[in-house]
Amino acid sequence: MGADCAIILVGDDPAALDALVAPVRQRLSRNGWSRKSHDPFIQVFAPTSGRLEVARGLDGHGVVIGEVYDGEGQALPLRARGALGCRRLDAARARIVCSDHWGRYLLVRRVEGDVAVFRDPSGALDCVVWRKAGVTLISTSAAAVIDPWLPDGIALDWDAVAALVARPGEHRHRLALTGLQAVAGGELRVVGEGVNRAHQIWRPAEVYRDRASRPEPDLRGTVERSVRALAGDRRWIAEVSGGLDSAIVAGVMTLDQRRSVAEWVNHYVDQPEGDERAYARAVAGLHGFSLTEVRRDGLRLDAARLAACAETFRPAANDIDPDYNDDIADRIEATGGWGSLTGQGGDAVFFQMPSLLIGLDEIWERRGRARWTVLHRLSRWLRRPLWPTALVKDWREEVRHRAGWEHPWLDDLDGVPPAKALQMSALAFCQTFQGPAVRNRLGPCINPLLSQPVVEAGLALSAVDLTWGGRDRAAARAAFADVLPPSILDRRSKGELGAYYGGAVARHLDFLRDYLLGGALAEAGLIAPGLEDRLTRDALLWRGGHSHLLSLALTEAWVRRWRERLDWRIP
Amino acid sequence: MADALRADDGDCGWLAEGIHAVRVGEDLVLLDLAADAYLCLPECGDLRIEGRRALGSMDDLLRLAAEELVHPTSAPDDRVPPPALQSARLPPAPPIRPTLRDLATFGVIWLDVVRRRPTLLDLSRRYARRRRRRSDPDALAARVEVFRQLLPLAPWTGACLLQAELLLRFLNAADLDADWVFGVRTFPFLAHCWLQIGEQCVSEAPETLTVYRPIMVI
Repeated sequence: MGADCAIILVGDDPAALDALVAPVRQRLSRNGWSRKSHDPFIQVFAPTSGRLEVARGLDGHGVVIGEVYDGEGQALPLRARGALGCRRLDAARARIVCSDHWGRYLLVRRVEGDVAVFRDPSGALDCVVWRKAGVTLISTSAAAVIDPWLPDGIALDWDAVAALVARPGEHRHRLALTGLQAVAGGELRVVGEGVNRAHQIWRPAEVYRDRASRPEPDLRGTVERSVRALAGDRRWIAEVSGGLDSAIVAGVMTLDQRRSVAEWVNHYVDQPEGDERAYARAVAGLHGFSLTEVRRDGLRLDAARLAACAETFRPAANDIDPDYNDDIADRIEATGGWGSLTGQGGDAVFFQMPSLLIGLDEIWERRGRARWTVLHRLSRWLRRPLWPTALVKDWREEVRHRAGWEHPWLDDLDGVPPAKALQMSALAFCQTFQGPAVRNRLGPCINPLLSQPVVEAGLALSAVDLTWGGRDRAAARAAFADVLPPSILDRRSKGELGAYYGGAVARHLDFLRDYLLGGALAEAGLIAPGLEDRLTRDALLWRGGHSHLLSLALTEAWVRRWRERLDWRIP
Repeated sequence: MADALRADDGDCGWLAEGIHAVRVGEDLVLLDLAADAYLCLPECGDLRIEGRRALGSMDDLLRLAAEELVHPTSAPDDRVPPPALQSARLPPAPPIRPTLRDLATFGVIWLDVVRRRPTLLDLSRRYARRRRRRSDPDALAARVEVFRQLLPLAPWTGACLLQAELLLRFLNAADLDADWVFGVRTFPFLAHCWLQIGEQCVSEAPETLTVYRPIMVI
């Protein structure tokens, strides 16, 4: 069960809705779920202890779940959210909602007998839709309690599972379950009897292309507004990794918000490259809070633990380190915190990726006015030749890499230069961090740097400006210099946990060998013949690949769990 | 062999000529200069390396001896011990631009370096006995800054091995010097090299190197 779980049922008529709901009410109640909203055509169910707010449309034909803010970062009160839910929801209206508001929300509205669903562009709440017995179902969660409502004929899509196995750990928008339709962040999906239309209202490429018609983004102001709005007056478990991004989040909170943080947590390992306490302590010292330092000691990895991460629509890539996530969830429980705050997404939004392609953006955006100094500083940063041959080589590699991009955000990249496109693909990958994880079981995980306004600010700034002077996240460093300790401002490295995870996974190779080579994926012929050779300490030590194995194990757990769930449904 | 290892100096062996080693977590990484290759001894127990001496259990030493990586008789410990990881940066470089002479020097060195494909043994032999030079951190910082401005002009910049050799030669040309340090990491295995003097990092930011364990210094 997760803090962000909810399922919305919209009937073609009240009788169809009642007929679908009635047999399942007891099951929901036994599993701690209750009805949060009830209208003749629309009902919403969620865990009784869940964190999602439900605002029913004032006319009973729409609903908004989650939190919505205006451009100034003011949270819309219940009545205003109810008003959002009672206006006609078409593409034009979705554009207005998207440009006037942001947040972590789903907006659902009956439109001429069909159901329009708009998922906020940040993708903070998962959204999957399907039809069953004259009812449209929209769910943020794949909790097993909803099994009786899953579509008839649902099955594993083995082609899609094969794609997951081919690139485990990557965020794949397409689901590997037939009969279910994933809705992307910023997508308007209209579903009804014989109707299933998608309209991508918000695209990163459009934010970039429209930048000239908007004021120059104010990175500092935007991040401040977003972090402060999302933090509100709640009690948080805040992560301080020792990196730049979480330090920025800590730095822009108000004094009162910092005081109401229940714990500032830093996880460290024995390996010096993964021990970032000195940096995290500097953040704590600057802002006058005390740091909770948590020493990591291996990974607990077994079938039951992996199964606990598998109650999801996709393999739980966000649970690649369930011990870490468990620790955060335990702290939320122990302190009565609302949820957790992270700096996830900063790498993509502020542009951490060292890439010569930034030079191509300079040429693309300025044509004949491209600046020699920009190109030279970039080459100096990357220690790569300034010669065009190096640029061409990287561009060719990038084109090859693009073949694997499959997120709707990346469908239309016309007019987008290569490094900016790279940033967009990184943002699409960051949807993983917005996905469900065991850390969310009691309180949501909020990633303010992936909120719509911050993402839009990062997209509207050119990659050249974001890395000005040949420095990753240079614009962010400049914008937040006064709220960061010098050690983090000047830092050139990132924490590195390869040896820690590699060693931890190596201690579970016996389990992984049995689990992967004798599991559902192997039975389906999806395990590559060479995998056995990679399941040795020697192979991990030389070639790495711990995250590949962990992601594969999460995929295996997901397939096993869904096979089990779908088997139970067969009469 | 077991008797020899024990009789000579307790449970101790001596790394063979051209073999360098460092403990990385639970594993031992070895550099075999003659073979121009890195090796790894996974889960090497309590085996540890002190200079040229390998100390540990008889079983572990026999594993090394079986691969002819250690031998039982003592050998002169004439190697420069790998330094601790550096923690300090060079002083800030003055505002400086390369001169034509710098460009020419860099060009000559680059041409000389890229035409060779040296092994680590070649490099070790070539640079191990270079003469002492002056120690001047400010001058060093200035030369490194000039080098960084010149490097992008090269048609091919290679990886760390080429870049470190280029920088070392460029510093030597100005009567300056630094230690050439080779480091390794595991999970996955990567080898890297850089220049440093004492605790001062010359070629890169010190915090980027914490992941590496020094195995050899030239």
